[in-house]
Amino acid sequence: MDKYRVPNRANLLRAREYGLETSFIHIEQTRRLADFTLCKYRNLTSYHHSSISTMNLDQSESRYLLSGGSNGHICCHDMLPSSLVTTHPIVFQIDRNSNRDHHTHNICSLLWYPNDNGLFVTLGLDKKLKIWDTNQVKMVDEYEFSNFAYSAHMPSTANASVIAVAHENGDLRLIDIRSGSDSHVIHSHTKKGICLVKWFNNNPNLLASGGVDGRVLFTDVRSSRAHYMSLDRDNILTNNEQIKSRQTTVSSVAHHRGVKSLEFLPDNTHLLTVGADDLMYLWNVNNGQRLLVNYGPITTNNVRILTIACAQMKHDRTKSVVYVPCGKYVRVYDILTGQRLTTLSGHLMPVSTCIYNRLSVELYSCSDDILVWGAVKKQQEDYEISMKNPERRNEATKTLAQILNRDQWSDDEDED
Amino acid sequence: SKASFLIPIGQNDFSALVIGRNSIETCKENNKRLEIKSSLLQKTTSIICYCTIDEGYRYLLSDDCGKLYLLILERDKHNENLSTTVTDIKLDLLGEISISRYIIYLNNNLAFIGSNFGDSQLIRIFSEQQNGSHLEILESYANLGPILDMCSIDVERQSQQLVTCSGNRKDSSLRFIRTGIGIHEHASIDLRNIKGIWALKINNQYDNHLVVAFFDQTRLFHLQNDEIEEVELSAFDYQHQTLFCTNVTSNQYLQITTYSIRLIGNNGQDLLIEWKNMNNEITVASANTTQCVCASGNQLFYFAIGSGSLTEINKCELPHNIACLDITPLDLREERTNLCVIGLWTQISIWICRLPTLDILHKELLTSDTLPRSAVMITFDDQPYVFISLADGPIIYYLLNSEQGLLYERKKVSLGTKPTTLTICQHIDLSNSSTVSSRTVLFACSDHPSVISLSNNKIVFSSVNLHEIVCICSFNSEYYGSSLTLVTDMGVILGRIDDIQKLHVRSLVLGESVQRIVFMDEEKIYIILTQYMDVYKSDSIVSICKQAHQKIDCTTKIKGIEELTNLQSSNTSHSIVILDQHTREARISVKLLNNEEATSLCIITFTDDSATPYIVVGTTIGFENDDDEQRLGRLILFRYKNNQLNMITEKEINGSPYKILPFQGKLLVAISNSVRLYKFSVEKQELTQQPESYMGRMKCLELKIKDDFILFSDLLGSLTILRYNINENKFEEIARSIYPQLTTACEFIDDDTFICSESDGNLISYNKNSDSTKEQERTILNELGLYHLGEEINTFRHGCLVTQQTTESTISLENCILMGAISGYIGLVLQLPPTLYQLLMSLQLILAEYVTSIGKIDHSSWRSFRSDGRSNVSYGFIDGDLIETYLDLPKTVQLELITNSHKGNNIQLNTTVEELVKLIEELSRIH
Repeated sequence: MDKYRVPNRANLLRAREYGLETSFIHIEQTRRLADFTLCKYRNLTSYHHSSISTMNLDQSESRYLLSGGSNGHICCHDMLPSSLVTTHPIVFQIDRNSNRDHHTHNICSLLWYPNDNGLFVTLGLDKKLKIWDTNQVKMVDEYEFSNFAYSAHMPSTANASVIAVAHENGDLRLIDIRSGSDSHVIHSHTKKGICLVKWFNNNPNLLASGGVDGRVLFTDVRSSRAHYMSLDRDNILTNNEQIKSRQTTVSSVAHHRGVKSLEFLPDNTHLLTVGADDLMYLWNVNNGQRLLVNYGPITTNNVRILTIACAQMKHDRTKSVVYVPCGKYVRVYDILTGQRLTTLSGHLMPVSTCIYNRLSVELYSCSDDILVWGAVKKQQEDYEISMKNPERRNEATKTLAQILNRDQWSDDEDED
Repeated sequence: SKASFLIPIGQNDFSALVIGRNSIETCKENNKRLEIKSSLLQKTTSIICYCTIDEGYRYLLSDDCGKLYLLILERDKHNENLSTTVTDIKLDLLGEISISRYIIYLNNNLAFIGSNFGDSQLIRIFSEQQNGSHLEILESYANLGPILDMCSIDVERQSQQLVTCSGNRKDSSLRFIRTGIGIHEHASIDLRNIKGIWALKINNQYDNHLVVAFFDQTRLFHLQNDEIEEVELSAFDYQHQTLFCTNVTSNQYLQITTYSIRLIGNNGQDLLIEWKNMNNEITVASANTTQCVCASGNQLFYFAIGSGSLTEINKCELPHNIACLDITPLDLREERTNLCVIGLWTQISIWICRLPTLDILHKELLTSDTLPRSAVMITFDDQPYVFISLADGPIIYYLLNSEQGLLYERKKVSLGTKPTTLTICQHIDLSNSSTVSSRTVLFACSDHPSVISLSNNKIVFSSVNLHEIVCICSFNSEYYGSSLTLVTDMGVILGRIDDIQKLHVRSLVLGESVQRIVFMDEEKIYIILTQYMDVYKSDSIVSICKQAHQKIDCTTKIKGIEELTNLQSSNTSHSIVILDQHTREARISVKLLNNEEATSLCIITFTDDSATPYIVVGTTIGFENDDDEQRLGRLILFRYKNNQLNMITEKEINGSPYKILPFQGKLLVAISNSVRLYKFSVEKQELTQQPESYMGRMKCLELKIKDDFILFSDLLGSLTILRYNINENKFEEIARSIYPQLTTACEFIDDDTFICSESDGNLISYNKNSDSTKEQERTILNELGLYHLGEEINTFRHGCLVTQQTTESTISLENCILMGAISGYIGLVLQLPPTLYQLLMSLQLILAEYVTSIGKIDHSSWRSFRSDGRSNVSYGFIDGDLIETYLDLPKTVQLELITNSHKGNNIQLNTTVEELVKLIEELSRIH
């Protein structure tokens, strides 16, 4: 935790006034990064009746949170303003009652179009990928596949228009939404299938895919080869000369069992993977070496795809944390040392997705409901004290009273 | 210490110079390190900047206290191989410069010092010591940054002045900024109680004599080159006060005193004719080269001047006494005029009469309580005007019909508060030497001296940066060129004035960091908060708190604070300094306790005692490495009167008071994330906290108030509007902004609109939707405009650098906001009426396409809003710099842009070139 302790704020503010401290805002964010607690008084207008399988936050405004349920329902919440006591309203919803183009099965992937939030993409287990116009909440395009697809992703670079879809049979399908072409298929993994695909953050031609076979492959979509690198867990970055690190071969395996999560760090040079073997690995994407960081066992249970969230500070890349869903808990690790900083507990069901909001410095996690985590410990205490004040209690509105009567989760208890 | 710079030495040496905070050494592969041992490198030294003079031998280094060092590497000369080895390093102190950010060695011992914290400098380095220093500062380039705080002041209710807290550490200063016409002084004469001054050409084609009138005598001065001597030419009358004196036709001189009119010839030796009014003194007089009028009481005499003759042509009697007269020819090249302007006592009026008959052509009542002090006929751009100044300051002017002698289109402008005298000056423009153009301007001498001139068919009043001018005459000297003699209460100044109004900056070097400033109008003092560290100590500057006439040590009666501050001493001392507005001398300095930092400052009058202003200072007790939340602080209340500063009371608080403001007769304090109110009771002489408070989220960074509204900017990025409900005594949250961002400063534009600056150099304007029917909309601040300024703003202040002129104006300067940035940038934000906004927005779009920008950076992409997590196109703001480029375009292009806009499909400019130019010039005049 010491790493996330920052200099005295008064001195920082003074330095900023003189123009000596340009990363003040990032330092302030660092202070809050590892100190998350459940925002008890922030609710999302409840919508999902089934468990929530995936979420996505729009990149252009960091404001709209899409969530998809296992029954195929999709809903979008406005996450601003991030006041201490709020109920976030639903912006729109897509379900049987409101939209005839709705998905009928579990939602696997939700994607906001990276450059603006006028468009989003949904992928369901009904073998359909749909493209939506946000403003009219109207489906504008639809692709139907013959195989199940578990994951879809879009590059976040400018002018990107290609969606990569990972099929159950090991095929990677590329869909260009400009031309509508969906015929480009790369047979990369074996028959066992792939479940995950992620584009590189900084390159619209490179993508990483993770399979049920435990392999993680890097593919250049311009080249005819199926992949140019396959990560090997024995290819280790180390100073110890006695250990011979193995070069990648055809039979390289990243995890002994299937890959459940792929996440690139914001610095574009590192990749985090979580496997069904309950291990999380950190890789250097340039040479495929695994960094020797031990995060301990991460129990993933029977969640097929986990979405982990990474936060890395702009002014100091070493200050980076990852939020990993682990059963009913969300664990917070320092990425480069593997030290577990805290464990966030509050969910009653296994957590599948964590989303980090870079702008508001808060975390969203979902299981059967969506919870918001932020560095609000002191404010909540202050607020509770002010609400307990007898003078104020009478003034408290009915809704506030209802909020207070809710079960109060705490993050103090650790499952260890 | 940690290495901060690596400088490679030589091309093939594979060695480097390693510079740390206070250590210097050379490193070479497989070689022993060579470290410098010098008494110059002490524990506190911190080298921040370097520059290579010649590679491998000499380097310039500077530290954070502005000391410049020379580093010399000595090499083994015997070794002729490629790699010579460095045998020794020497460090010499050269002298003191501004705290540098960059050093550039130019050539020939010249170096440029680029500074963030002080003025940038051009220096010359000497090999031998001269006057105790190895360097000489040749030139310095003013730098206002970083502006930490500023205040805007009405100087004598006339002109506006901005005072900024600039610079850091030893280069800190207060900068006094005002716009106006500057005076460049050539010479000055120490003479007091002067009533009038005139220039004479005696035996010379240039002005070489000055006639100076006193209450009961006259003196004559002769100016040769830069020497001034008093002379007595025999024909002049020195026993009486001179009323008027001028060169007249055929190399003669006319001197009109209270006693007589004297026509003087032969280079001032012979008195040709003297005319006396036997019964009465002459009270006022005026003349040109061939004509002369004078008045004695209500009698008016008119004379014609010829070669050796002064003939009384006509005289008449007016119903009241005459206050002022003028017979200046409307065309200054002509020798005579047929009109005379007369101002009268009792029935305050202006009469125009015809010469030589003295028939009254026109009578104009001035509808004023005070008498006319001087009247002048002048032609601006072929249009004759009559200007009349009144004894209490204002100026009235009319258009003059020179045929019929009629006055029409009256306008009134108030300038000073004391009697104003008007003088015509031939202002010769020397800026372009090829075509010497002369411009006629009218000089209004008063406590608010102004230059009246015509610019684009508009009479413009530009203020002159002098306190008070009694009278003036133009003096076309052989030695100094076209200049002016200005008479002030301190003496006579011979000087030149600027052609145009521009910004003038004067600085007061403080020698210690200054953080906050306020101005106390009642006592005419500035109060500043300063911070002094022992390392700032230098031979050239004495820090301002040590200069004070009266030095006080602050005490405390609060036990907790006393214990804490007694514990340890520190090398930093914080003070409150009181400066006089006029002399800018430190009157009082109050040294705070050990480890006590002053964080905030304000002037307040409390409800119970609304007549007495108090000074409140908020302080924190600083422990090293401690959490912000657990600090102690106090509020100290001072009373300043008659040069005495008394501590009235103090109040302990459990936090750091980051901002304090007077609010509804109470003290509003922002501590950590809360806002609290404190009340002062006069009987008990103590501050008490009121129960009401508001809790923000993280930490309050800025507070602004307007009426009962409070603008609260939080570190977590939101801007919140609060209202103080007086009936229920509580703060109500009205609305807040939704996007998280780091607000660096904010300000009210009016009740419903706000502006804030963001840490990535953007400006955002908001409005509140109080009329909306939906509750959701009412509680959210709407974004009205986004704009990338490219400057990090530290402070917003209401105010403007020019005074609103009473002449018709399309722009109201009421809601002007000045902003000060880290770089030293000072900007002006003005709210525009919707029609004007639309017009200028269209022009901006057209200009952005036409005017090529620096580096071909597209205007719209440069101005578009960009921050860490968000980007958007710019809207709601107009770029004044771009709009003003329209004035520099050739006339044909100006026209073309307008006509082309009609052909285009979307943008249209429904205006003419003249109207647009007039409008933009008016806009450009407000800054």
